[in-house]
Amino acid sequence: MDWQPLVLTFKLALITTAILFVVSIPIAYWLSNTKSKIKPVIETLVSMPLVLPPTVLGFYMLVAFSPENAFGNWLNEWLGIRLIFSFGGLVVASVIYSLPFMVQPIQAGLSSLPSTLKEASYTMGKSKMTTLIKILLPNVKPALLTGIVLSFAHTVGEFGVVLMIGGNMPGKTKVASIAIYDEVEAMNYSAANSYSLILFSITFIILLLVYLANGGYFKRFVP
Amino acid sequence: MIRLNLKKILKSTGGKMVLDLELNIAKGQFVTLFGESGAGKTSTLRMLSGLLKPDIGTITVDGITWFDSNKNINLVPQQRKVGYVFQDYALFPNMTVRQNLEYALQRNQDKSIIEELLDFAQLSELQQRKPETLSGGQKQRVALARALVQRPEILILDEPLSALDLKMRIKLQEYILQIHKQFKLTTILVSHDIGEIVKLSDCVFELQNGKVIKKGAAADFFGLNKTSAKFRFSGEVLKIEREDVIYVISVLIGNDIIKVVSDRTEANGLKVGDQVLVASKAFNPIIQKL
Amino acid sequence: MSIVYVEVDNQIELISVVIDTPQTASYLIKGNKVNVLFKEMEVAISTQKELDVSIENKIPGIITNIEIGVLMSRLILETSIGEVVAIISSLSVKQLGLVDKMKVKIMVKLNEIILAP
Repeated sequence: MDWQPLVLTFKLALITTAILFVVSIPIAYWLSNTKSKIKPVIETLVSMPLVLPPTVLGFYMLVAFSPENAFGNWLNEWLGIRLIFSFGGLVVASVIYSLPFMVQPIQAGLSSLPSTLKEASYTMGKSKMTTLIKILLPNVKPALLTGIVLSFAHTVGEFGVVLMIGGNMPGKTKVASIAIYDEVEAMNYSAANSYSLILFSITFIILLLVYLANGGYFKRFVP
Repeated sequence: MIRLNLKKILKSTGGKMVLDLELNIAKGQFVTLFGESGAGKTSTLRMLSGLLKPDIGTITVDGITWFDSNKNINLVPQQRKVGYVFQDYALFPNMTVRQNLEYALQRNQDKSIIEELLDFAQLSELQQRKPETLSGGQKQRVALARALVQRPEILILDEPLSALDLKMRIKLQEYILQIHKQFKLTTILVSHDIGEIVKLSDCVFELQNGKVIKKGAAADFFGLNKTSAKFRFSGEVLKIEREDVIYVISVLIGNDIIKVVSDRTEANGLKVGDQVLVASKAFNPIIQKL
Repeated sequence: MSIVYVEVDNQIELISVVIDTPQTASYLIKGNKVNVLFKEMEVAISTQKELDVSIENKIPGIITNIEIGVLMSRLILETSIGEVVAIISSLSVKQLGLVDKMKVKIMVKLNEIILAP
């Protein structure tokens, strides 16, 4: 059996989750605090991947990142980055695609904290940054864990976006979900079964561990 | 000296209310804001501490401008550093009692104050406990101690004792008074409990619909000095029972329930929960050694 | 301690004893207006015109209403100091033969009178 698609899948999921964690905290913090009029617009944009068929997202990203277009061309010319049919492109696409799975639990967690916690911290002379890191985030640990696990699992399972933007290039963009599809197409059911079983087991174990660790707390933050 | 002169339009579920206040509070005073819920008491505290921005007006404390809408001055809460005790205590759940206090330390501040306050609040034995394992009274003591770590000059108490039982309330009232004197604070309290207010405060402001409708020294404010009767207490009506042609009214005073016989002319004007003054001449009560 | 004479409606004088003195209570000045309070239960009633008794305040009045309870009764009286409610035992009502429109005297001891400045 070729292990490469599995390795690639988990590499993609790890990198995507790490990036998402860093990117989502400020977004979730902003969303949970702001009274801005554009909040609904941002919330909608963040949540779009939840309802949109992955192929739609993949299609637009394919168009946007394509060197034939201004944006893709600019990336290519100035930064030397080609996002389509590359691992980098997969990461970018996955980050966008899994964004709501990280942002929403963290936002829900932060919103559920009484506002007096941060106000108390402010009256003690502590900055917003200190308050976020020392008070707010430590008190939404279950939400953070939920966000991490959901994004990770979601990235592991994605198919449509990857296929649209990454194609099916062994060692570069051929992740497990694509490999399974490939094997099924080739009537190679036993290989498809191996990939599927491994994916199934690993995701099952991860989720189980999280549920066990978090107890009932976990469920509250699932969107 | 704290001078507040503020206007703020508050929108709540009950509609719009204009908060329009002028308060002058002398240094070292213990002041209570009194009034119905929704009268603007908490909003006033929040504006003083910088957690809520007034629409127009000024706040000066000891000659320093904290807020001036004309000059665009608005110190953030971090710069005002008032000691604020929230109604829900706002203890940090992820930290132990000791860590809660330590978090409030200012840069380069001497750490010995932590021991001093833990001692003073009798929290030394609880210092490694997380807030969720504490009783209401213990939480309140932590919140009070934590508010004092940064050595504020102004202490704000937003209904600090309302969630506690009577015994604990009376104990903590003593404690608050002790803190107020020992740390030479200017203390601003929000409370509904007349006994508590009279016991603690020098001066009372009554707010209604965002305006100060009455102010005065605490004892005068509630009319406790309005009769020559020397044997007088304030309390809360617990029960009104008719018996024959008279009424027996049970009143909670401190820890004790007393009964007062009353004619229907007074009884008809009373309902359970009312704050009342019970008075008699000093000539009537008997006194016996226990 | 002071004994205070209060003039009600320019005619009746009520006497009260208080612990305060003009030095300790600023309201104790001649000519100052005060309210007078006393408890319904402390009002005694007599049917006799002249009575040697150590009750300092005696005011004539007419019974305008009697409500007789099992143990206690409530009387409303019209007096020169206004309407007064007296609560006395039903036993006394019977003994004195109190009825509506009857002319009586109400009496209150001086230590029962509270002054409210």
